Amino acid sequence: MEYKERYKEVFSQIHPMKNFDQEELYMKKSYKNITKKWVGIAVVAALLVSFCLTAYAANLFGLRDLLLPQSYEAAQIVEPEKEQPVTPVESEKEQPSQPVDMISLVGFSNTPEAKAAAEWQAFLNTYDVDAALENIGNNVFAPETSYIHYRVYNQEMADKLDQLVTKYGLKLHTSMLTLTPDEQHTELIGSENRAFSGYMYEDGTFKFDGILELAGCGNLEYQFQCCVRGSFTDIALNINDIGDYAEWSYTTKDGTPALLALSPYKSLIIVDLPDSFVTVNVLAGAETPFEKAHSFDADDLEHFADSFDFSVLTSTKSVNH
Amino acid sequence: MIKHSNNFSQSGDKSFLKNVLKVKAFRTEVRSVDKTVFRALSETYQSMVYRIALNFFRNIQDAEDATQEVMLKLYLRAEPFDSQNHARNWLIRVTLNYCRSIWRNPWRQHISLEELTAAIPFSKPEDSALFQTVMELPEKHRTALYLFYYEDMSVREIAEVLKLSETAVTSRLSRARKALKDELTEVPSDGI
Repeated sequence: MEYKERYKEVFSQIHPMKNFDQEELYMKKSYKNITKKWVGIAVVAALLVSFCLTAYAANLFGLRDLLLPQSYEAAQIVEPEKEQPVTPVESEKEQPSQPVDMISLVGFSNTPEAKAAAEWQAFLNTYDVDAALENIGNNVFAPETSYIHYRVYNQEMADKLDQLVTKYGLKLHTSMLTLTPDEQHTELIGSENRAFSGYMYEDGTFKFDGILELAGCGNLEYQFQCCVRGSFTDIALNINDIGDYAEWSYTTKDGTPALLALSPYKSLIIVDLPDSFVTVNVLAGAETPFEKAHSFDADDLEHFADSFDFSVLTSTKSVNH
Repeated sequence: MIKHSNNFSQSGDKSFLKNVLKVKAFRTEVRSVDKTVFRALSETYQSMVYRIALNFFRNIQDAEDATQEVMLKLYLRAEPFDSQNHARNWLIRVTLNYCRSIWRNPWRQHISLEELTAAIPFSKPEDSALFQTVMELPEKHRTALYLFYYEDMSVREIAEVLKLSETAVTSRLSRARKALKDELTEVPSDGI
């Protein structure tokens, strides 16, 4: 059998799990077919129902105060009909990269967490410019250490990370818990709000994916990230072009000051609490089509923000394990 | 310390922004491809889009998401295609663009190659083994290989769709084939 036939024989067995019909696509963005498992939110719930904190963000910063050093995405292939210039690539070299705006999810730029994140991002941008690390495969550097929670692939990177956390007085994460399905806890965030996959670090830093049913928009996917102060969390969010975002400050229904930002493709809710920094990445933007008369707009984002009670959010440092 | 304004930083006026968004929403409504055409193209190319995304991500969930996103873009596309080939190449480009745009997204979940292979119901163990071997190749080799072997695209067509030189495509295919020689032992007649 020829190469081609053998290859086809194998890959012809691969199909998407389901077909995407027109009606479903029309409803897309209101409900993406998530096959991720339900996760129990027992630990998250412990955060949500634990001690009340007075919301604090008297001097709220803007989105630009979250910017990290620009990262680089692989150049995109431009559709010919758009008549945009195509970056020439004439050899086997990687395509030239395009800068994208990355924001910190650990705090505004004046915090030690954000300074460390920015410095780490700058280091990563210059460290592996020839993408040599992509060839390391599934080899994990120092799997029994804290480095496994970070993009650390060799001793040199580990040394840099140690230097950073020492410089800014932070701690490295030591363990991570994958949140497992447990539907009985879903009632704690309401029937319109469902949590899916998630994880939590030992200090209470956590992230989960969720779906919120919002009037007029249907089901909207989001990602909820809470980073506890005092630890170094190697996480950032690609927002493509910060110039695409309209932002404004807003006080949620529970009285928590928040920064809201709306772009054509995604929206952000950012809450700066005394002991943690929360980012909700809403996977809907101003150009997301819905059945309603208009697309996802500023009012929708404010309603979305109102659906969370940020005032009861605190870290697990306050919870007895 | 920068105190943030209560107003929109971009437009400066909330009602103005709302009007802009309404116009954009209207444009989205009227710009959608003929539904019969969509159905035909979707049935023909949905699996292709999925396989390209799976080759790229090595992750079923991401490939499903990519397929849905690309089908949505097709659904909302206003301009007609000149030919079926035009539609196919457009879908390939859109798929790869989407994949590249979220490749470094920190929210992405990573699964092992073993988990991925186990999740696909291959009919024979040797098929699983070949799939896994292909997936161990670098992404740029996997994509070129898929377009060449499965989509029967010529080196020139691949070069066009990937915006590479024909030499670069040939090089990728050669390297991929070399890496796969243990799994694919027959003599090739495909010219690479």
